Amino acid sequence: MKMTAARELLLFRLINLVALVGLLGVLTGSLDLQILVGEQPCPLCLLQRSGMIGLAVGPIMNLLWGMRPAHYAVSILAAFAGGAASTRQILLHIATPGDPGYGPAVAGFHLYTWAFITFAIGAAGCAALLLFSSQFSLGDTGVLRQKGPMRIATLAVVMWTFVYLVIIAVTVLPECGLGMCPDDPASTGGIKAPVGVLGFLIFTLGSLAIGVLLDRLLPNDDEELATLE
Amino acid sequence: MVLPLLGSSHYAWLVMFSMFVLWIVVFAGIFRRARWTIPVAVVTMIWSLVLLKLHMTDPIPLNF
Repeated sequence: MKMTAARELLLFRLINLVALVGLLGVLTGSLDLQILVGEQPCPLCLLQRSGMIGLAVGPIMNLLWGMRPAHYAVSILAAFAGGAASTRQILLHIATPGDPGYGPAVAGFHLYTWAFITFAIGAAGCAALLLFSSQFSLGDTGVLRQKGPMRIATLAVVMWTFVYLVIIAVTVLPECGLGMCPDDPASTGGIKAPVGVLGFLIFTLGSLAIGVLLDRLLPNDDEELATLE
Repeated sequence: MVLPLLGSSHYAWLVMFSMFVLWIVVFAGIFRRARWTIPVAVVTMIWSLVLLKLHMTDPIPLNF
């Protein structure tokens, strides 16, 4: 059974969207630990967050600009940059005998180990997707001119990622103050009120609302899809 | 001349913050569909590696 060009494009867009949602999940976990539990990120953790943001840039460009090998390349390079920071942190804690590791363990692994796994999966996934070269000859120019659920979902997830980036950037300032970012920052105690689920709901609904709003504001051009059919 | 400044505690916080500011610039480029987006993204990754190198003050023994 041969897949039509439109279906093939939809499949690759869905893969990129799911990857982006997965990265959002990882960032949600780290921000949850920082803001709700009070575990402040170390300098290496901030470098790994930077790698996560870079990893997200590839799928975002694929969805908004269209599928290009260069976009996957950006994610692979970001995975290497972030992976270097997580490898450094893993080795630091292995090299010190009796070191319990930094921060709490989640499902048996510390967050920097999870970060390394995420970067490895991200790089391998992008390399695997590059094997399917047909996605680059579909004339894809992104979802921005195509009204519908895919554009709403994409805009919602992209806006959500951008808000996380701004939160991460802003929270660097109070943590590091006017001095060097501390290697082992003290816990702030976090927010005790049960705002976790509520905050998540606000983010989900807020992002969807922005996605729907932008979907109505942006122009619609179905000609591109029609030529693919 | 830039690297010695990074060792100063007065600039260190700005340095870590600058990495995320660069990512915000990359996102602005994505939203504007600017051609400079990918080069700036690559520069940001190189910058994060420079920061990683600056943080590598403790040597890790290779015989652990």
